[in-house]
Amino acid sequence: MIVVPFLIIIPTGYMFYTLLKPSEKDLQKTEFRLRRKSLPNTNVLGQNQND
Amino acid sequence: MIEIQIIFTLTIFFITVLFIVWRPLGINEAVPSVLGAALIFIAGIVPLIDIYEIMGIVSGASITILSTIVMSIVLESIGFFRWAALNLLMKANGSGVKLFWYINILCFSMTMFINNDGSVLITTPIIIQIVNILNLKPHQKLPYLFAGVLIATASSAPIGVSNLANLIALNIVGLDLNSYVKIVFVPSMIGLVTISLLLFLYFKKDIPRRIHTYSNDPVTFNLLKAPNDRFGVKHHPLYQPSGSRKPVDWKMFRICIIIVIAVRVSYFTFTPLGVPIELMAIIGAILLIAIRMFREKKGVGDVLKKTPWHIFIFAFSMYVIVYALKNTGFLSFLVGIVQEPISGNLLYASLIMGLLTTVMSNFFNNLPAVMIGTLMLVDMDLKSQFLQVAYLANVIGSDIGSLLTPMGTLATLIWMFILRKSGIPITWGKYIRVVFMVVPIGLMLSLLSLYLWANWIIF
Repeated sequence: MIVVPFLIIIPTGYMFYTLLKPSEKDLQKTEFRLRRKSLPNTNVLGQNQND
Repeated sequence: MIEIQIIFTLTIFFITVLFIVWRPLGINEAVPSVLGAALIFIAGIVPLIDIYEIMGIVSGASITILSTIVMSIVLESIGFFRWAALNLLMKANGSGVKLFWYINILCFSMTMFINNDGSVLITTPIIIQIVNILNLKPHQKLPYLFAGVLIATASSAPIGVSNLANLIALNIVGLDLNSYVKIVFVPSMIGLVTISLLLFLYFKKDIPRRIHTYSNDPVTFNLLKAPNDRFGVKHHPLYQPSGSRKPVDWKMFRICIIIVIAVRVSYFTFTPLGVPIELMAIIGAILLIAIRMFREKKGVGDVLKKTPWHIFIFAFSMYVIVYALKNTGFLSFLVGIVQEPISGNLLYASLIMGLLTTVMSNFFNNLPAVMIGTLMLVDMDLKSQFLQVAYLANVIGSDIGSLLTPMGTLATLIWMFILRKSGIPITWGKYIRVVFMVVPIGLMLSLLSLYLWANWIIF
């Protein structure tokens, strides 16, 4: 009853987690963005649409 | 009298399937199935006592799938899938080949931890966004799009809990989840890996070697927002309008991923102790809702509104119609044709049931096909080993073999609809030309390895 989770589900889950996990560099950027109140509404060129 | 009943039931069956696939005026798939089931019930072909039995079989599976869908709705609302797409682009680091394999892994994981329809509906718009951001030429988009739909759909075979049809069929044969995985995981993974590799070889020249490199910046994140809105996918239960743009909350994502994985682990750990699978699914859904409530101060209104509650009615009605085929004796007629070879040889059991379900799925969709196949097997009075192998071949046929035509699964039909809406029309001819180069080999290898794995390792 423990074999399936340990051999299949947890390793696959870890692979899924690793695929989604940001790098330290990206995480720092993300943390920085989290401290901001809102994300600027930028277009493809990075220009702020709220201006 | 019996002949009239068979003709009446078959007519109802085919008209219902036609309307489910055609969906005139965008009607919900539950409407034709309910009307068909009502006619069957009024005609007295499926009596009330059978209705109670069907309710018992379908309800647990439907609640489990509904809970998983609730989990995916919560994840979507917190921007989890947009984050996944952005992260794939960053991790690919300018390599088109890497991106191809990452998309394969993402679609596989999404189906393993959510479900097949949800995986296709969520990942297809994401993949379209990615290939559009990368400005790929039309032929360069195909490898990623085909990998998405084929892997997401076929990945419902390995663990049996990612697909409504598989869960219902499990209840019918009375096979437990752990035994299912022990027998079918390896053969179905062989099929999946084969399909991935063949797709890669087929599209090798079309996959761009170098693609643009993207970083975690607001520009890229904004580009990946709310794909469903753009493609007008409003008819499907998993459709969700765009949420507001928010910065990434990785800590919350991490907790959510851990819960999603833990729920899957709990299925296999606690079902042998008699805990119903739907209970764990419900607990998982409640936990995710509670975390979102705590971190984002959001209630459950949007989740309740977006959850496709009609899935239960759809599955129940379809099963009533299929049960009518059994009650009229039509399935016994089919059983008479295949029973002898299946009951005498494990290899034949695997190949015949796998190919029979493949053919049925591509004629009238895999949900009724797997129900018919499973009821036929129950009628055959097979020895335990033969029943298990034939049933699992039935599942492989319905999850992998059904990919041969877009008709085979609702997920493929959804995929074609999204592509058409997004200006990437893929004709049935084009679809079949690609799929016939990869799926039959993957299917046959899966069925043969099911026989070898079951015969040499398990039994």
